[in-house]
Amino acid sequence: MNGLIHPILALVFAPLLRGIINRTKAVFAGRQGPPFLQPYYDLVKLLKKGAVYSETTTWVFLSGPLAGLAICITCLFFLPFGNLPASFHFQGDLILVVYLLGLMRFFTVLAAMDTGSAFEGMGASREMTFSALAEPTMLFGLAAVARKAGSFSLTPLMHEITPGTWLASAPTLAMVIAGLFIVFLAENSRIPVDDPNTHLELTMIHEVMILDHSGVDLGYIEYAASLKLWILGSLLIGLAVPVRSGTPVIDLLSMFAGMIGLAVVIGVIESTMARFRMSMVPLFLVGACVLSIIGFIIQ
Amino acid sequence: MLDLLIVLVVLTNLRLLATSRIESLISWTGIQGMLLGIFALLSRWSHIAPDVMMVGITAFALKGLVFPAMLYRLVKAVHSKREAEPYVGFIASTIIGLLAFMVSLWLGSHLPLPGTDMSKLVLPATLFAIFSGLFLIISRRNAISQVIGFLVMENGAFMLGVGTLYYAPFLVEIGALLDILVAVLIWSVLIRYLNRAFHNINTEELTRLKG
Repeated sequence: MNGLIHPILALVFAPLLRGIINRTKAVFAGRQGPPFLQPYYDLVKLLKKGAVYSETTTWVFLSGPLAGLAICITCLFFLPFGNLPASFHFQGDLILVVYLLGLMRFFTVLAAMDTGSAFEGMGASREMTFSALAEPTMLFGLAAVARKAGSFSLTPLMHEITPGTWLASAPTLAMVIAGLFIVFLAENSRIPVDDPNTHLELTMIHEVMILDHSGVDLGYIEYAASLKLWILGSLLIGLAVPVRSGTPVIDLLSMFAGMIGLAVVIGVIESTMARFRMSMVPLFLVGACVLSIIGFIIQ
Repeated sequence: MLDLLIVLVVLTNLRLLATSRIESLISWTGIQGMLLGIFALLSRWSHIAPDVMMVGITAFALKGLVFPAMLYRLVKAVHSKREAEPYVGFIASTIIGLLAFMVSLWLGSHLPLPGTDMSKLVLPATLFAIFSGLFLIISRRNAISQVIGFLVMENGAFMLGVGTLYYAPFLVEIGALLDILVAVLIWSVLIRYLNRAFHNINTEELTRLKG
């Protein structure tokens, strides 16, 4: 029963994070901004609409959004939320989670290529290039923490992240969190890597791949994107917030506070930074990889 | 805490390898200098004495503030190009830096120093600073980045000194710091001459000086 709490929490609260990000950006710009629940309204609106399909597309295009959402929900069952255990855990489940996210990307890219539009192919190529650089960062980072915690399973690993672990291996954890944070920004197509609001052809990465989706499909994609933000965010916050009191309420509240803090940090970054030039992005991601490798090799 | 500082110094070295602008090279050297000043104070915190504090504060001020200020003025004076003009690209430099750090860690674990209670990372970080300083010198054409390469090497040596010895005579440490000050002064004069002779500060021009 305990294992079902995190998937349910994530399914309910994931879009809220986007609402918090947008509100933070609005406050920075001196606007009132959309209500916190706006992402939910958008989802409902999209789900009520019909979808339009191009004649050149096949079932691959249809399967993209469905597979993406299904994979994200599957992922939630393998993820602990701080001290809250995952529904299923076994040795090596962190590799499964990383590659489930890779599978989701694979389907998004296939769906984009299926439209036959050169423009979407460009986006797909960029997405693959950058995620090829982001994936080793994530694996090295998690492997570094796994070495400290002595387990390749996420639930015991997160359980081991106590203030004591932080005191004993602060450099490693700090490096890993810095590296994972950059991956978090890149994978969720956030500023400095990608701008979620832009529709400028030359600079889009993720947004360009979903241009041909509409209605329900777009709703699925948006919801899956919120879930992905939650998945990577909960990994990051699980490492960064070492509150393991054993009392479920305190642990959950601290994780929630961490997630909200993370959303605010993203909002602040998006309000104060510009997007990188496209040629800078690989350097940025290689930097992230170097950070997590250093976290891995220092004792 | 000390480990975290050492890792931050290592990261500034990697940042220097990945930086293309002369101005940001200079400011990151300054940040590294400040970190080293703090490191000099913290690593001897249990044996703190007026002269130890003097060394830390002088290192902080010289390496963190005076050298960057001098180099900034030099950049302005010679109208240097803003690029470091590398022979080796920045991603390649970063990866070479990472490999050098791995080699340093391996060397550090095979060359134990007497004195057991210092951080295990001091020696690798020192070796890495020397490697990356040398690499900056050989892989960049701009004369100012060569000065920075030297400063980075010297920072490594300084870290080894304060990290492994509880106490070194005050005169020796201050003398070493003043040596660097004079070295930077001489370099600024030389680079100004270089600029007068060739109207740029590209070190490739120096090969034209041979017989």
